[in-house]
Amino acid sequence: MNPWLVALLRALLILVVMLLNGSLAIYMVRKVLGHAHLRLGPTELGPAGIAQVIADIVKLLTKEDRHPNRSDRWLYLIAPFIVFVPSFVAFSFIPFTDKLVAANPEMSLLMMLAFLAVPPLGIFAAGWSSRSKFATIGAMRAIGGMVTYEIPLLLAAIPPVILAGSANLQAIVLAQSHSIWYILPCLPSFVIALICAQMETNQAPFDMTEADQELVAGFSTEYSAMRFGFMYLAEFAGNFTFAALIVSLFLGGWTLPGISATALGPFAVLVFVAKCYLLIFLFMMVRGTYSRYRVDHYLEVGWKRLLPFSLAWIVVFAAAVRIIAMLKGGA
Amino acid sequence: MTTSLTPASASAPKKAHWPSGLISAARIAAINLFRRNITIQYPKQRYDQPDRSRWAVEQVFDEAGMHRCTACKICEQSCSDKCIHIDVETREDKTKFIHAWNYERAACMMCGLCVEACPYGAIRMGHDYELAHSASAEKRIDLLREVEAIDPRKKQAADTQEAPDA
Amino acid sequence: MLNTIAFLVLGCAIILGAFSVVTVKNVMHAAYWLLEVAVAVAGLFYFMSAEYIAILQLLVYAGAVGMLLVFTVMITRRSRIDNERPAAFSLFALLASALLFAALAYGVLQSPTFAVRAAPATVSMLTFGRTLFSTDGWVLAFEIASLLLTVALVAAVWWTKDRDD
Repeated sequence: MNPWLVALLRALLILVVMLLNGSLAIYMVRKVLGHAHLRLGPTELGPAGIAQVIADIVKLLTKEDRHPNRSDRWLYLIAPFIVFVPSFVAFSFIPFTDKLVAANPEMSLLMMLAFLAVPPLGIFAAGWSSRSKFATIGAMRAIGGMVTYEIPLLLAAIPPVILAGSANLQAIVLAQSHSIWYILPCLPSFVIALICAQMETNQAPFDMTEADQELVAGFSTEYSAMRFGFMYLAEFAGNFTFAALIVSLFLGGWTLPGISATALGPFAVLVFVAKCYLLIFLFMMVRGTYSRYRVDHYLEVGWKRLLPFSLAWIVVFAAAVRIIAMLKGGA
Repeated sequence: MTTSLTPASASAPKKAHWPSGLISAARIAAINLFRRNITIQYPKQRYDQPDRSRWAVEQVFDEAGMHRCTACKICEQSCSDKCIHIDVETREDKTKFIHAWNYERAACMMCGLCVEACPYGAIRMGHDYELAHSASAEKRIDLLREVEAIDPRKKQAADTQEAPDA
Repeated sequence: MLNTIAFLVLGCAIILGAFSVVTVKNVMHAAYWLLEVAVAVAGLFYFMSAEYIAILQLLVYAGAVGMLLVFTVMITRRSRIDNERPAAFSLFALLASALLFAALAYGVLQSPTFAVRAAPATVSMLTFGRTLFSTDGWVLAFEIASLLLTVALVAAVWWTKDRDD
């Protein structure tokens, strides 16, 4: 088949998956947060409130799309794309089954993390170009926090690479199917990755960038209609991207222990998606449980506690792996 | 001589260490996952009012449909918002006729002082809270109109007569 | 064929971006054009099979240096007027850059290894790790030196901070 067509189909498939995920995540977050707070979430539209998603999407599509007079027009228009496109590209490195992965370069994990370093700049552009006080403060908090927590995320991704011997996500997933899921030997890395994912997706308890009580809507205050919808979609897309990353690194990706890839066949997609949504459920439960961290507090935690701890853990882990290998080789 | 407010034997509150907050929040969240929600989906479901809940003032009617108001106007005097206006005509034989027992329900703050003050138990705090209205005329309503006021002496006699029987 | 198209598109993006960095009046726009140049260069590296360099370019340049630039612009703006910078034309700058361009073009075109060889095999993690810790390149010493420099920077900032306890 024409390679251009294949590439286009892959990109289109990723886009469709992201849109579906966005609509499911909108419903899921409201229901999960509701039940975590002993209330119901949406119930009126459709059975158990499912049509609320359609109502939300229609509302976002039909609202008036205006921009503030003082805003920096070009940056204001481009900012949602700077947020969304790298997340979209990063999403394409995720393996859904042993054959279904949109892009599989040699170092797909590092490439994914490299692309995930760009959205904070888009968020800053969105806040800065809006030229409103809430947006600017939200943008500054966002950029500070997200840069801080990128580094422990990168460091937390290293122990699985040590165990698997490769930086390719597919290879890491396959290595987990031959041994145990890496959450067990690398549990501190798993916890660090969860915390960093919670920050990178701007969810509570690290949602100082978009806290309603503080900043109206933070960096997306001056955005309306579909531009806001785009940012909203980008947030849920980031949610799924990070969940997929953590599932691939620590929870065995699309594999199940003891079942080979051929036996799983197309059900691997279901396994993978189920694991991702379990993790997204965990993110939402944490979002509904913990109170918000103050800006200087979470920056302090990121630089002074999480970063040295993850560095120390890498050293300890690598030493332990080497010692175990020497003992096994010697004995 | 100065004495400290806390006695020497009182101990300072125990200082919580940092995981305890995270763990207790997680415990509460885990428990909440298995609790039923506490939402009452108004208007499909309604909340049972406690007996002592205070909503708008209502007249008390006995089994025969007779009111108990004697037009003594104690409630009118005790109302803090001056919501009650009793239009009473006193005839030559000292009997009273209530033309209108007017009640400004929209201004009433439902403190219950009038009900406490009424010596005859003629009014009570009702349980109806769905009092929203769109017509301005519904702000002030007449709870009684063109009725004879109960004679307090006859009522007292009736009460003392009933007491030994009951 | 894909490589040619990619090279043309990315090359145009890089040149346009670099030109805009210098000429655009709004300083924040200039910072974001630099970000665009960094991302396009990363793409160029990727199409030249230097995948690891592309990753580093994105992580370091777009992620860290771009962020640094944006922070700098953000902190040094006191008012809206500061956002604009004067677009003065300098004949000296034009001549100097033309001379530099001529020298570079001559050097590149004269080089015998200008023709693109066959794409090298992508580096695996094992060879990458071995090279990092090998003694013929002393790459590890370089990394440790940069880590030391970071620690020194942090310490310097902390020492010169106005401590009020």
